[in-house]
Amino acid sequence: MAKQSNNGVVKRSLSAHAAIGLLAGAILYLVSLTGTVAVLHEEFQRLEQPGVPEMQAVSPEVVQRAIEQVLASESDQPTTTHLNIRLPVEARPRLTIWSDHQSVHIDEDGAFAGPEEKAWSGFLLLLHYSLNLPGLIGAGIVGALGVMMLVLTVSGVVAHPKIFRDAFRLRAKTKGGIGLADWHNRLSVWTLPFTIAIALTGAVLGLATATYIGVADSSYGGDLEAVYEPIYGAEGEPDDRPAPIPDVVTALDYMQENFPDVTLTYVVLHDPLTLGQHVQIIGIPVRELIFGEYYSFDAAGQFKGIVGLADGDIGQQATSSTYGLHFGNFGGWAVKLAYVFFGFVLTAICATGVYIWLGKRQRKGFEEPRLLAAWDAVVWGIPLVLCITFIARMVIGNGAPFVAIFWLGSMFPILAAFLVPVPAKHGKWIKRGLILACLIVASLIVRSALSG
Amino acid sequence: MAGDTLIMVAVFAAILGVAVLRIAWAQSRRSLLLNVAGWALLISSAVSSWVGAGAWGVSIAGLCGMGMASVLIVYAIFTAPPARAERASSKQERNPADVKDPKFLFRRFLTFVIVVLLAFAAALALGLTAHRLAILAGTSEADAIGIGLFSMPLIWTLLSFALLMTESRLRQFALLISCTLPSVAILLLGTK
Repeated sequence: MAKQSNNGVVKRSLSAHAAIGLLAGAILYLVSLTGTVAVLHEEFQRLEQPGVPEMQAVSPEVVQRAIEQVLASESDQPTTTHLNIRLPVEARPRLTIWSDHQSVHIDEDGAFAGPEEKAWSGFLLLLHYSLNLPGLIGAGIVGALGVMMLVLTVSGVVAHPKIFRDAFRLRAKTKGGIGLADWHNRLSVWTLPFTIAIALTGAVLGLATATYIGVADSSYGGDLEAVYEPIYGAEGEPDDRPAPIPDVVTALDYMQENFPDVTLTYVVLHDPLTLGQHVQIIGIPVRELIFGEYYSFDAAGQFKGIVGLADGDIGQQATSSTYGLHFGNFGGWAVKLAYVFFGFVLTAICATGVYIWLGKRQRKGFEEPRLLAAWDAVVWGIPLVLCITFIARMVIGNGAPFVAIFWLGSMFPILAAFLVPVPAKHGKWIKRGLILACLIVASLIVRSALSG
Repeated sequence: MAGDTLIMVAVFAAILGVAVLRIAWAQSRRSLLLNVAGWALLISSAVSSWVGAGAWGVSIAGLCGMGMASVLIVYAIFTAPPARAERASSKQERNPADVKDPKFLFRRFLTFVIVVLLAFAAALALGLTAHRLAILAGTSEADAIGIGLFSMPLIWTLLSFALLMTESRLRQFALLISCTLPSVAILLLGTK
């Protein structure tokens, strides 16, 4: 009786696993693939613009000079509400400043080094964050995909009673669906902690806005800023009366003296050139998952305090750790490479899941060559079109229409799967195209790296 | 530095733990000793990495353990038995002409509505309730917001899974309503 009941649970769980996998399979595959590539988005930014001056460190005086130049260059425009200075770090050793009006690189002497051009990396990140859809909708869908990945994880574990006992059993060479199912199950088991971490942080990041709005409406009278305040600290009181450029040198010197182990990533000027202005320096303490701690200074560079993302309330620490844990930028190159590897494994798990379902259908007598060709078009076509967007960036330039190329290009092989005379050959052609595109991308990367 | 030592111990324990479990699960008969040793090493890895460097340490040790498992899986590829035609499921091959493939489109659409859309709404209500209850229990605002942010997707996950495991539509709606009604009542208690 107990065994029968257990079989029922296993059967229903498998059915739930298949239902969610089919519902979200293609988009989950796309989000996994783009997330894996996006782990290296800083490196891709460097490849997009190889000639930009690079430096391991920058002096506070150079930062101050650069700020003065950027603000002076915008004197005939409305004053920017925020001025963000991105400091050079190991993964991206460049000094870049952006305001409401422009984004520019700065050289070692604090002089302009041309506009920042990273449209492809930006497209890649937005494709992963929101499927290039408008903010709340796109991020919400991607957040929902994180939840679906968690449901797939739970249902997958429940559906396999011997999941741990068989954890190393890989009949990779066995045909008839066993080999593929073993690949899917073994890779899933051993990347379980990674998958849960990625799916949960992705869901939290994607659904955060919806939850923040809900909390604001239910507990803060609709005031969204009041919800952010306990976590990220309060914005200063605005005072529009004019004021001189804030003293960033004193603030950076204070950081060097008092927090020498913190890796500084950003300097942010809030409401610059007004009496209400203040300076925030963002830095990552040693061995922390958080994206950064906020160190606050007044316009004279006097230290005002820390927000507490690193050692404040657990809610602050957990919330500010989601980004780092999701993208693997908390441990240098070794962690990044591990994330790329496990990210590809997760992508392969998404791909094999649908192949397993199609194989089962085939063994049941449902021959669906066009459906199989369409899934081939998803699995091999999406990376192919992603490669084409990168080639377009390097050949056409920063202004290439990446969103149109990607979405129209991705639809084409999928629709073609239902029209080609021999669907069995469809996947082979796309694979050949992918190999060629990868070779072109590799050569462009080498060329860009050498010219930098 | 004590933290460094603890991280080193954690990484070593994670790698060794996976290796011991590999040996334990390869035995023809279940070995309680090896199983306990493997899991104990993994737990001690988690504990020492947490003590050594908190969540950062656990993440690093976890990646090392998964890395070790990947190496063992690569080894399994090379030692896999030679190719045989074996069926993944016991289902018999049938003549396609005899097979009916009902689409159940409406039923599937309704499942989507229940598991994705309604479960989302219920999870949001429960997440907001968790936030409200945390505030009422006296936690800090930041902790309460954190509880709301993290509980919402977790509740959605568990609710979706529970709904998918429930065959009767009536029970699915009963589950949704029983989860949501108390939340709505608590949220209607008023704003801060």
